[in-house]
Amino acid sequence: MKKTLIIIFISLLFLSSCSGERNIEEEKKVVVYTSVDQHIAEEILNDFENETGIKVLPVFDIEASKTTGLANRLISEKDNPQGDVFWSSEIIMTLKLKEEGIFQPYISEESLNIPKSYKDKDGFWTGFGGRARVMIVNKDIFKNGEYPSSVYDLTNEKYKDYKKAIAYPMFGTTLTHIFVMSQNWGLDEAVQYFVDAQENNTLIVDGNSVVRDLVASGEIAFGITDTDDAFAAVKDGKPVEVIYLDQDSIGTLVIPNTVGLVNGCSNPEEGKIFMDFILKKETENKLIEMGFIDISLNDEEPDLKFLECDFQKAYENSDELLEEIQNALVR
Amino acid sequence: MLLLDKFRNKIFLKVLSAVILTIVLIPFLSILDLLVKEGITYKEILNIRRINLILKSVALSLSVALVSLFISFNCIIYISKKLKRYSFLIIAVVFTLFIISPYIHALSWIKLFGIGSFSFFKTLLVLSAYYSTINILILSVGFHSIDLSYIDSARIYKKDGSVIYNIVFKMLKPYWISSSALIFILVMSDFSIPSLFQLKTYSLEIFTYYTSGTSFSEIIYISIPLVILNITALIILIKYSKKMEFKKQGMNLFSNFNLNFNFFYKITTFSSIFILTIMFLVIFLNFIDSSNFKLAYETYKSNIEEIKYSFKAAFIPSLLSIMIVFILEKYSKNKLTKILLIIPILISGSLLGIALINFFSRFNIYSSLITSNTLLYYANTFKVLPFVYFVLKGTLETKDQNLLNSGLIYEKNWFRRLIKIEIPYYIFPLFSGFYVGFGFLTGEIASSILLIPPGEQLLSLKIYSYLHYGSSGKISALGLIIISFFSAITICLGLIINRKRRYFR
Repeated sequence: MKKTLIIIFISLLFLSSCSGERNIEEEKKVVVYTSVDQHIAEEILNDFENETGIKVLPVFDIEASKTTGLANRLISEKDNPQGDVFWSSEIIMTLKLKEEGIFQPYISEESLNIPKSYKDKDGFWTGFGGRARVMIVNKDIFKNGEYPSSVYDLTNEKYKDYKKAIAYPMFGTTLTHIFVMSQNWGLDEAVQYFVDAQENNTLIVDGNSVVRDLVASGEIAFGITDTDDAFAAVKDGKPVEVIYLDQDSIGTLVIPNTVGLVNGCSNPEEGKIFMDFILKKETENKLIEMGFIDISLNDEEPDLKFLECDFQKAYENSDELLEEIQNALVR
Repeated sequence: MLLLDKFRNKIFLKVLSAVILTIVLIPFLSILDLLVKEGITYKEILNIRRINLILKSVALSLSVALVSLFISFNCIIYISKKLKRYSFLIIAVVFTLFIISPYIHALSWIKLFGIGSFSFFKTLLVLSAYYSTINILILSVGFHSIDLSYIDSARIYKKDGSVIYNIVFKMLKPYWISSSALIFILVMSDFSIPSLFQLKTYSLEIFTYYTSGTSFSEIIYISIPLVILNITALIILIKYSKKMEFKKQGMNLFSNFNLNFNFFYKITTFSSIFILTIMFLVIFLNFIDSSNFKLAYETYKSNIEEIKYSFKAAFIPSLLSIMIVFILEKYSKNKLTKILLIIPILISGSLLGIALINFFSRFNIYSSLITSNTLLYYANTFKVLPFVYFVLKGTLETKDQNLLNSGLIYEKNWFRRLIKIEIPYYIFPLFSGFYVGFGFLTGEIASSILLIPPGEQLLSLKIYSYLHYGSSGKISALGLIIISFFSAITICLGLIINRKRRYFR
């Protein structure tokens, strides 16, 4: 008898520790898969909970896996989706997910002011709040105040003696950047740009935050990164200057956050409410205040010169481009 | 009664074997299923660039294996010789190094010294200190098995320094080759530390393909050279681990006679201890440099849920894995099952996560599995089995079987025998196995990121996500919290076990 009781007790203990599912069956909930930095996303998700009373169950990605962890999880869960909404800090994985049939269409009324090139025409995804590609420069190295400011400066002979960096163009926003370069210049030219940059004393590193850290520490003179990374260094009091790329010529690439409703999800209505919330001008403003984005896509006349692009078209040759990058870039 | 007991044992073992096989085989079936689903397309596997990368990875892995061997060999002699009374506590501190996870070391290095230069050296140092724990564990078993009479004879003809490096080291060959092979596999597969230090290795190349959204079949395809090297190391590991003897000779080698250390030995010992100490110093200095105790307290308060969840996610699988390995080691002689326990070491976390989701998501029960932590526990148990197996296999066999058999005469019921005699008798090895598993899982991120239930968060994932926006204060605060938290637990448990140690002999 004693033995049986012990077995029952241990089994109950084990089962109770296994059942982590929260007792929120009755209350409304939405499962949000997000690759946005956790400290940023958490604040927005809290605001959403406070405003709507809908409980958010988030699944975060980590910077190291550049949204791929979540994208892979969504693809693998396609037959039995667990997420309701995917909120990404970039666009390429969103296009891949659309291609895989992960999203269902939903056009939010909050997205009407967003330019056409930043949303899917059928409503499978919607872009908002952009991060621009910027040049981050170490002011201690460029004491004369004449800073490099063009995407072409990585290949410019004038800067050959300066160490500089850009992230590896196989993931994240640099991947989007090379897709757009490929669309504007042609595939070979885009790949050649990275090869030339390497020959011109440019390091190809593992992420935009690495570019920032290298410039901030003075190990290199300048590099191309995203605004959120660059402004984090400014906030930390590092001796850096942030310059939007090519404002006197082609303009800078602005990479939007994207959001999509998961096909076959369990809470579609709550998912739509979440999408409406995230696409609101107020949410975009809050993200700007927090320093995560710096450009509103809701503005009719933005101050910044955008690089013209069509993300969907840029993505169409993705496989071929990726293979070329893999072949060309020495890692 | 005895017949009935035997019958029960037989049934119990069959059920247990079926459970083990299920745990180990499902991930393999899932990977095969993934391959079949995606199809294999021919791509060039090796070119000059990749050959260079793989050579670099091999050089790094061998260097880590050698340096960590150097550190652990010297440390263990010093601990045994000079600090025997505190040996358990010191080993507990070294274990804490293992718990901290190498990327907290790496982050501290980066924040203090930058990332751009000496990347090979920094990666080597961080990984060597990390894996010294495994070496210390395996070598300490080896030290206990050496017959003292050989050493005494050798000391007549040779100086003590020669005895240590020429004779003792040679006698320990199966142990250090096994541990080096194990470390080689782990370093070859690790991408996180090379990635943090910007050191380009073959595993990082594979991870880059993963992050760029390349299909899994292609990733598996380009992983073939890595898998071949790892399987070779695994064969060496299995071959030499069979030669390892776990018969305890009844006394510790260096604590019972007076070896005279020469100058060279003193230098090597000092440098080994210094390398380990410096890892703590770097983390502590980073904390002083970029954080403060108030921030540490606030960070702790805002991460209590993550700490609790991380504890649970590491605790339950570690417990399950020691139960599985212990019972198998004690009651099953099936070699194939034991080999299956080792093979998970070859499977990367990302692949495991994707394969499990891919396999289970076709069933309706998937929602319950993923939201109830079951898949996370399952993957963690799978991943930690080889580590627990190596530690338990060694330490269990050092126990005197005759002593145990004498106790068993008085208790026929297998369950009571297990609870009243075997577990108390084996508590020390079980604790070691549990601790290694717990330490490994505390820092695990690759499969956790894919299998964590919605609404939950792990400390390891949070630290990794803090990396991006350079919140060095929070990172260093979390680093210190982890060290304090786990050091305190380790030291308390260490003290309790050390005090009660005589009962466990």
